[in-house]
Amino acid sequence: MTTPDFAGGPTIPVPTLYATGQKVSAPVLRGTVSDAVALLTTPPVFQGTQTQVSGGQDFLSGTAALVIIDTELYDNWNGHLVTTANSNYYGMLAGWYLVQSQPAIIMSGGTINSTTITQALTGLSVAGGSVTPYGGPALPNAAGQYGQPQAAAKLMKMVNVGARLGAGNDYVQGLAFQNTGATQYMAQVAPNLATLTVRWVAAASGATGLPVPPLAAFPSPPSYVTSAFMNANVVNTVKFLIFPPIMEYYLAGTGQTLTSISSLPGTGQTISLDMGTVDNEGGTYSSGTWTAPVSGVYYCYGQVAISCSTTSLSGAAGLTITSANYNGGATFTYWPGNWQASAAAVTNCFPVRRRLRLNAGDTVSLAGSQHDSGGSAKNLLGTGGTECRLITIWESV
Amino acid sequence: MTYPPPLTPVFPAGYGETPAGMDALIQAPLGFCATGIVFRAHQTISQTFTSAATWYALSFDTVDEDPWSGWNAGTNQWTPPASGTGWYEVTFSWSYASSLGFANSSIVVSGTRYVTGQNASYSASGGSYIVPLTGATDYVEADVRLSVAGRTSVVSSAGFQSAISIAFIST
Repeated sequence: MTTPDFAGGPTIPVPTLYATGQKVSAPVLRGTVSDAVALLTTPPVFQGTQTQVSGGQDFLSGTAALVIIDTELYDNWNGHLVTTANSNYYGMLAGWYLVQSQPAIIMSGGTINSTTITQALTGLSVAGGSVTPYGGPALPNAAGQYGQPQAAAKLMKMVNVGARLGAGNDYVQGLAFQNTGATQYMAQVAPNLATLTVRWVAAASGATGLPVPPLAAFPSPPSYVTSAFMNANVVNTVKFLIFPPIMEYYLAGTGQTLTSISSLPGTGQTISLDMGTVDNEGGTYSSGTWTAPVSGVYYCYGQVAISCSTTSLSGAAGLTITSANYNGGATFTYWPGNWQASAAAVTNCFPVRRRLRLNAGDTVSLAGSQHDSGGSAKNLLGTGGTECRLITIWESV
Repeated sequence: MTYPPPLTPVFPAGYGETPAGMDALIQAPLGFCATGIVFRAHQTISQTFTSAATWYALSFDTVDEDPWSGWNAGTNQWTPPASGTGWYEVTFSWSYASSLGFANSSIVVSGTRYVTGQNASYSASGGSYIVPLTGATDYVEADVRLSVAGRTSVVSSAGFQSAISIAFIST
């Protein structure tokens, strides 16, 4: 661990359970409640855009380019620098981050614009560090328009933190890619701006299997505060909130195909993801289905990756939901819209995102759909970071 | 139950608190951390975008939850509570009848347009963006436009839906 150059943020509390008869002392509450409230009301959040490059950042066809982020909208933990290595957001607090990247490209005709996210994990177990691009949505090109595919989203774990620009500090970046055959340029006409958004969503590790915070009022005499009360309403509440249920699974294997269908909506084909990035409640994702471990509002993101062809230029991602809160409890697939267009025979990721209120035991699956004029199935992708992916993040009671 | 955004509680040494005082120092701040500020809604009635190249605020006719009562169905805008100044993540999706022109979607905060997505020949659009909101003052709306006149949003009870959610992220 390198020496932090930033010490202004709150720390992650590590509360311990109260024993019977143990006094409730002010120092312990400071280290538990005060730190937790400070952290949870000001977690690391970053959002930046590109506005300062004269003429817009240029990038070559066929080569992924780091997106310059030269304007900070919000950077409460100072993980980003405007003038130096400004494609990077450095982790300043250990934990899991939801990273979203979206380019804005001046379309001049051609084939495709797309967005990806990279993470450089240096100083971890990967000798010399590693950079893996994680593919996102792509857009068909239309001359005279600004190409802004929906942001790709990825959960990233950063644990070597606190030294912005430090050689060993973890960081994330946004990438843009196009293969129009000619150099393209980023748009810098608000609101058409390339954007990188990063926000801390959970500690790197913590207690699991805890219930949703009960938020009980303190007892009044003749009742009294017990260790059980303090453990449920303070210690375990803090533990839950700094390490809430998060899950990301993705497709790493091959052999799954996405059947061609003639129309939407309808229940989508479930995509069975076979590799977990994180599932901190353990076993909530199985055989293509994620089961909510506790009730609450969850941020859900999914993407379906396929190789489009000249006969298959449209696809969609959906969330197949079984919950009493939706559709009378009957299983259905939520689609953010009908099929989305792909320009040509290229790799594409179709996204879906929505906050869902779920009960414990409700289920969500990543659903896919595509239409091929010849009726052909398409291979689902799971290599090179361009992958089918499902993310769920518990956000509130 | 809603809790206002708290200041970081201070625990003086040797100070004997009442139950109400402990609620104010512990239950309420942690209550806010657990519940946050959330708004969710979706569209069940198809909306017509009469004119081409004109911005329309999406009309979310069905509110899923709005414990802070920030939604104005007349203007299709959401305003945070007076105590709720902070940074919020807005996520929305827009399901519409496909056109051969272009389709744009964006998030607007008190007249300032923020980017979320600009597409061509799609039938779905939207995105996520973090925006600053001043409590009881700023409003958020999801704006969309198409290059072709007379198109509609597409809704179905189980399937296509335009939806929006707004969640408090940071003070």
